[in-house]
Amino acid sequence: MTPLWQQSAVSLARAVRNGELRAAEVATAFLARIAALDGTLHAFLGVDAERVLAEASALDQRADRSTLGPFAGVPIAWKDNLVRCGERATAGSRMLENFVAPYTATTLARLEQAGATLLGRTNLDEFGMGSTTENSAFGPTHNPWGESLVPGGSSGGSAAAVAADLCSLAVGSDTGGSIRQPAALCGIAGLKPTYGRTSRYGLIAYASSLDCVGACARYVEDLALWLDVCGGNDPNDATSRSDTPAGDAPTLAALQQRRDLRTLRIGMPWQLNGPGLEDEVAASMQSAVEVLRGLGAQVHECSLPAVSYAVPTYYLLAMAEASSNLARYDGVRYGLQRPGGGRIEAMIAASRSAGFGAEVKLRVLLGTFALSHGYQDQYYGQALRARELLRAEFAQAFEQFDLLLCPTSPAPAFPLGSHRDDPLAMYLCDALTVPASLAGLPALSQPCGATADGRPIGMQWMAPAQRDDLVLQAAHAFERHTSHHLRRARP
Amino acid sequence: MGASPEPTFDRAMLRQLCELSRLNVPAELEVEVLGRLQRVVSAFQALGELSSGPDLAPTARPDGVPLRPDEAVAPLPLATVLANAPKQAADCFLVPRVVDA
Repeated sequence: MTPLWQQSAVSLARAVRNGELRAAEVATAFLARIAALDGTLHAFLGVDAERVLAEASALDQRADRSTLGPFAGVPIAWKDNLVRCGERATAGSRMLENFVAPYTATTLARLEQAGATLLGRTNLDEFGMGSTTENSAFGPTHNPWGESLVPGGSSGGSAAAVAADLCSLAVGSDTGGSIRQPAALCGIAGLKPTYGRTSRYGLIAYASSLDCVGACARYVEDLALWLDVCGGNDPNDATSRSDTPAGDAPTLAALQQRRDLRTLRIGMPWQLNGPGLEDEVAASMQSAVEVLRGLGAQVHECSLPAVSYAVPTYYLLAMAEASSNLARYDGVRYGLQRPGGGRIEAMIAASRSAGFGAEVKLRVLLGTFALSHGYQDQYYGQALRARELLRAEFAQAFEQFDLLLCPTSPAPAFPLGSHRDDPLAMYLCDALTVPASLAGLPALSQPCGATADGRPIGMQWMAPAQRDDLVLQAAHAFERHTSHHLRRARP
Repeated sequence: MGASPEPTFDRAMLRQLCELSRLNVPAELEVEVLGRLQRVVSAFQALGELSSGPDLAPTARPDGVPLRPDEAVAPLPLATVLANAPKQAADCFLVPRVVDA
């Protein structure tokens, strides 16, 4: 029998609903695996085993198992920038080290309602600012494919937890690639939905016009089910979309109907498929394209000239929004407080300086600069115009193509510490993921190969807004005909 | 932006940004932080090339996200609001003392 921790979330939930498995049995198996492996990985910041087992046992007490939800008994982790009532929510920051959430994020509330077993909080770059998870105030997460390697970021804890089979699925947030890039570096699938498709209520804000709640998992069908459960309008989020497809698990149903990629037109923007890629990444993409053509897809090169400006555009907007969003951490209302000699301004500055890490401070300073008198139009205004240009180019491309494809990251996982003193090198890790973020498009990363030394390589699908179903269908078809997703770092 | 010169970060500018951001940068770290700010802003200068591009209206609103209607709703009941207060007294949130009396 396949070990519990290797089964898909869809399979586990079916077994729990059918009475073949107990939720407590599943939870116990995953808790044991966390105890055995997470000491070296540091994917989790907190696991309350007692609460996990109590909640799983409560699910098992339900008399009619057929009424259990679609995620019944499935162990799911969440990035520690999503709040859950009664649990700590640190956002990877000393500022919120002892903050206990008084309410639950919509995404986690929907998972609870669907019967999921919420396992624990995963590590992240502080407030989501980073691409390696080294910016966590609580120490880095290690990549399951090599402890000296970064797992990517900022949802590095979530990706590493899934890649090491410490949970079936992990929720994360993706502002500029924070789910897709770590998914690629850890060899799993990661979905950033259309902006507004999933609620941001209960997500600790970084850059509000870009932040998306998404998920990573080993199997694409698990991501489809997650979107069906967690997507949809939420009145608590002003940017939540109300035009989400209705029906009972429509995305998962559509996924299971499509067997190949015939009739799909796939565009490969040359700006995202050549310059700056490591050789083994380019070679894996070439092999993947051959598989896609074999499945009936029409694959052609296309052009998105504005992506050349995507990195500065993204960072200017994200930093500007972060400087505003993080103004709330003033030592009064949240978290850490340091004395200021009786002066409130000094107390606020002392608290923020002690509570924020170096990268957060750098981004707040840069965001403040971009919004300051004399520079606002030159930097922030110009970035908004560039974002519009990019959106227009995407819209034009989607008149010709159903989907766009490129690698997720220019390079596979690299050694811890190698980009620590070079913010620009770190920012360029996101060069291929930020375009979809700026345009608010759904995007999905899935494994498509590996380097000679075994490090995973990922490719990224992008589709028009609200066509999350298309990226999932294409990825599922590819997954069915390849075995990259079945490679495991930790047997 | 294309014609705009790249700003030069100096200690005075850093102190002004720190004041606006409510952050302290210790004197021994000023040179390092100034270097990082300068490098990143130099890289951002590439956006200036868009000056001669199409006339695009800047907007911070994500594409296609429908605006929800403005509707006045009843305020939350006091008990619900206070349920989220770590500490409370006399129907108010109790916060730590931040200035000396």
